[in-house]
Amino acid sequence: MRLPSEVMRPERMGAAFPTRLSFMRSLVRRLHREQWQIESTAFDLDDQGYGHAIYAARGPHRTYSLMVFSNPLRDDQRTDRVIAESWDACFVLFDGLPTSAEVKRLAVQAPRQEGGRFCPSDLILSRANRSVRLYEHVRDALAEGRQPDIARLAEVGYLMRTTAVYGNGKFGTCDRGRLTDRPEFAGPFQAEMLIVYLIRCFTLDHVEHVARCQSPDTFVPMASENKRFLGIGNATGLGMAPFLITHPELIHYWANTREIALQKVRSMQWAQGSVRQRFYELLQRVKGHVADWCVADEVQRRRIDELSSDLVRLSAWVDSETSPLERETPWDAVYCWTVTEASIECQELVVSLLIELYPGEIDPLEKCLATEVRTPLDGSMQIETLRNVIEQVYAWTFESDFNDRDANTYFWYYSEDKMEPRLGLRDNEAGTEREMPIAVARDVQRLYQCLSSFSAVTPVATLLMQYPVHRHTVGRVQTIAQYPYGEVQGNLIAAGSRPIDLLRWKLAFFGASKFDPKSDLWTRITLYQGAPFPCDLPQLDADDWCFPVRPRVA
Amino acid sequence: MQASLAEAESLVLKAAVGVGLEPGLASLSARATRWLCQYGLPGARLVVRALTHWLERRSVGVKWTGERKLCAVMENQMVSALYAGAVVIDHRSLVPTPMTVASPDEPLLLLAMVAHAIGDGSVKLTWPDPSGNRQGLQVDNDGCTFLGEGYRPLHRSGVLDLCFTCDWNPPEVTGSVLWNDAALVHRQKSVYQNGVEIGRADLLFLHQWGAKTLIPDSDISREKGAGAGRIDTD
Repeated sequence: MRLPSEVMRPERMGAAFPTRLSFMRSLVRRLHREQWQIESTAFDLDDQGYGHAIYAARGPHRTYSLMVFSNPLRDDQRTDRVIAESWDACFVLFDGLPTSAEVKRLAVQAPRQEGGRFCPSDLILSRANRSVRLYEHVRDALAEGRQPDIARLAEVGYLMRTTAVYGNGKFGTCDRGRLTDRPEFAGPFQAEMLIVYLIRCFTLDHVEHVARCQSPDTFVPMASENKRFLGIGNATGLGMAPFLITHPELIHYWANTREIALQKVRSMQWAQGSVRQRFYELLQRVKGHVADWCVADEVQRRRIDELSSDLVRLSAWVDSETSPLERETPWDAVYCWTVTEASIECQELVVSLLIELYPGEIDPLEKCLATEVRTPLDGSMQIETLRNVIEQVYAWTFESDFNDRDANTYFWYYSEDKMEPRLGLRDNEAGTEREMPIAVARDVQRLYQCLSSFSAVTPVATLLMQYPVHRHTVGRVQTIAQYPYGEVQGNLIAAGSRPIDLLRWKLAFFGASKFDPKSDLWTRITLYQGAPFPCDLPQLDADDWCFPVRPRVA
Repeated sequence: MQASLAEAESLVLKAAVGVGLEPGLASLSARATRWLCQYGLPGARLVVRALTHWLERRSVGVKWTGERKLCAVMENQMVSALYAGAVVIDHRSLVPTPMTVASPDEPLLLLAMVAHAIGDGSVKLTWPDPSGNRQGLQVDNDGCTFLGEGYRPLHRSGVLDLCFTCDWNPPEVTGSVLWNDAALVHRQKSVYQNGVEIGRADLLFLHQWGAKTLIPDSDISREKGAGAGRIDTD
C-alpha cells in the first residue's frame, strides 16, 4: 500500500482525480439505487428567469427541497469571490417541503447569504452566477431553434458557477450532528452534494425557460446528451484549505480508504476479459476527457499536455506484445509502469481508472469515509515516546529550516473581509501575531526542540502544564501517530507552497473535474459533468459517468 | 441570537484565541461549550465569564499542592477552569483519585471540559455533599443549581473519580437531578430543533474578542483568493 509519506505530499495531492469513491458518485449511486423522485414543484420565473422555484427530492424516508431565488444582477457585480454581495441565483436545501411562510422567509434571507440568518430546517446554503459567455450562447441557440456549439460547451462546461456552499451550522443552518443518523447524509458532504446536484438541474431548466420565453415559436429544448455534458461550475479559494489541517482523523479516513481501494485492485491476481475490456474503454474515454480539458494556466496546461502524451504511451504499452494485462497482477504492473514512466498526473489518473474497474470490491468502502472521532490527548505519554513519534511520523518536517526565510515566507490569517482565510507575506504584512495554527512543520520543530529540556520519562502532562502553548501540537502529533494519512506532509508557509494542491485533493474527493487553476491560490472546477439527470436515474448506467467526453455532433 | 452548535463552538474558539488563550486550550474550551450547549446548558455564558475572569486576572492557572490537589498559582485567586480542565484531562491517569480542584471559577465549564475531552474514555464526577449523606455534583450557575447524584457517569463508562472542592459556602440545592440520559437526549433533540440561545451581551463579548483574530485587508491580500478581486464574467 502506498505510504502517507508518498500520497500526502502536496505535489501528489495536487494531481488528484475523482474516483468512484468520490462523494458525488456515492450520492448519484444512492439516488439511483433508492429510486429518488426529483421534480419541480414550483417554477415561478418571469421571462428573464427571475423569481423563485422549488425542486422536491423524494427519497425512501424523507423529502428535501431545493429553494431557488433568482434575481437580476448587473455584470459589474458578477464575481467569483466569496466576498461578493449579490448573485444571479441563491439556493437553500430545505428539510422537507416548505410552507408559503418559509418560502417568504427564505426569499428575504437566502439572497443575503452570509448576511442572512437561517434555521435548523435550512440544511445547506449556496449561490451561483451565470457563466455569461456560455449561458447567453446556449440561451440564444435554443431560442433560435438550434443546439449550442459543442466546442463552447466543452470549453466552459457549465451554465452557472457556485461560489460557496455552506452547511454544518453556518449562519444558523442545521448542525451536521442532526443529520448523521439519516442514511442519505451519513457519508461526508452528502447534503452539500445533493444541493449542488439539484442546482445543476435548475440551471438547465432555467436556460431552457428563458430561451423559450425569448422565442416560443423557434425554441428547441437542449438535446439530452448535450445537457448531460453540462455540469455545474464552482470557484474555490483558500477558504477550503484549513479544513484539511483541522480534520486530521477525517482526512486520514478519506486517504486511507482510497489507498485500500487501490491496493485491492493492485492485488488482483488476474484480470478477467470483461475487466480488461472495461479498462480499454475507460482508457479511450479518459483520453477524450483530457483532450477536452481547457485551461489558461500555463503550468496546468503543460501538465495536461504531458498527461495526454503519457496516456498515449500507456495505451501503446497495454496494447503491445508485452502487454501486462494477460499476466499475473496486471493492475499492479500498470500502476508501477506509471510510476517509472509517467507524470504524477498520469499516476493519479491511473489510480482513478483502476479503482473504477471493480465496483463490487470498491463501493462497500464508501462506508469508511466518514468519522466523528476526535483523538483525546494522552498526558501520560512519556517525552521519549513523543520524541520517537515525531522522528518517525514527522521526519518530513526536518526538511525545512525555519531560520531560512524561504521556509517561513507566508502566514495564514483570517481577513476582516468576511473572515476569509488569506496568505500574508510575513515580512511585508502586519498581523503575524494573529496567524492561524496552520504551520504544522514549524510548530512540530518548536515542540521537538522544547522536549530536550525534559527528561525522557517525564509525562507529557508535565510539559503541557509548563508550556500550554504546545498543547495543540502535542495533540496533533499523537493523533497523526494513530491516523498517519491525516497530515499534509508539506510546509504550508514556505515560499514554494501551493495551496491549490490541497484544494484539488479535497475537490477530487468531492468528485470535481476539469480543474482550472487561476493562480496558486484558487481554482475553478466542474461538478457533475456527465452525471445523469433525474430522468436518467432509473437507467442501469446511472453510475457510469466518470471522465465524460464531449458529445459527438449529430 | 439562536445559533447552531457549530456557531457556538466557532464563536468561542475565535474569541478564546482572540484574547490570547493558547490554541490547544481554546479548542478545548470551544468543544466544551458545544458539549454544554447541546444539552441546553449555557455554555457560551460560562466561557465568557471564564474568559473575563482570566483577562481580569481574577482567575489564574493551576499548580499542584500535594499529589492530587490542584489550586491557583496565586493565593486567594480562583482557579481558571480554562487551564484546570486541560491539566485534569492530561493527568487523569497519572494522579491518584480523587483528584481535587480547589476553587474553580466555573465548575460547570470545568466539568464539561473534562467530560467532553474524555468522552472516548470514561468520567465520573463527584461533588462532596456537606451533609455527608450522599455524593454527587452540585454546581451553582446564576442561581440555578444543577445536581448530579453520586457517581452517575456522565459518559457511559467510568474510571476517573474527579472531585471538585469549593472554598466558599456551597449553594443550597434547588434543582433536580439533571444528569440522566433521558433528560439529556430530550435536551439534545430540542437544541437540534431550535438552536442554542446566546444572549446579546455574551454575543457581543464573543464577537469583540473574536475580531481580534482578524487582520485588515491590504492591497497585497486583496489580490489573492478566489476571483482575485476582479470583475468576472466567466
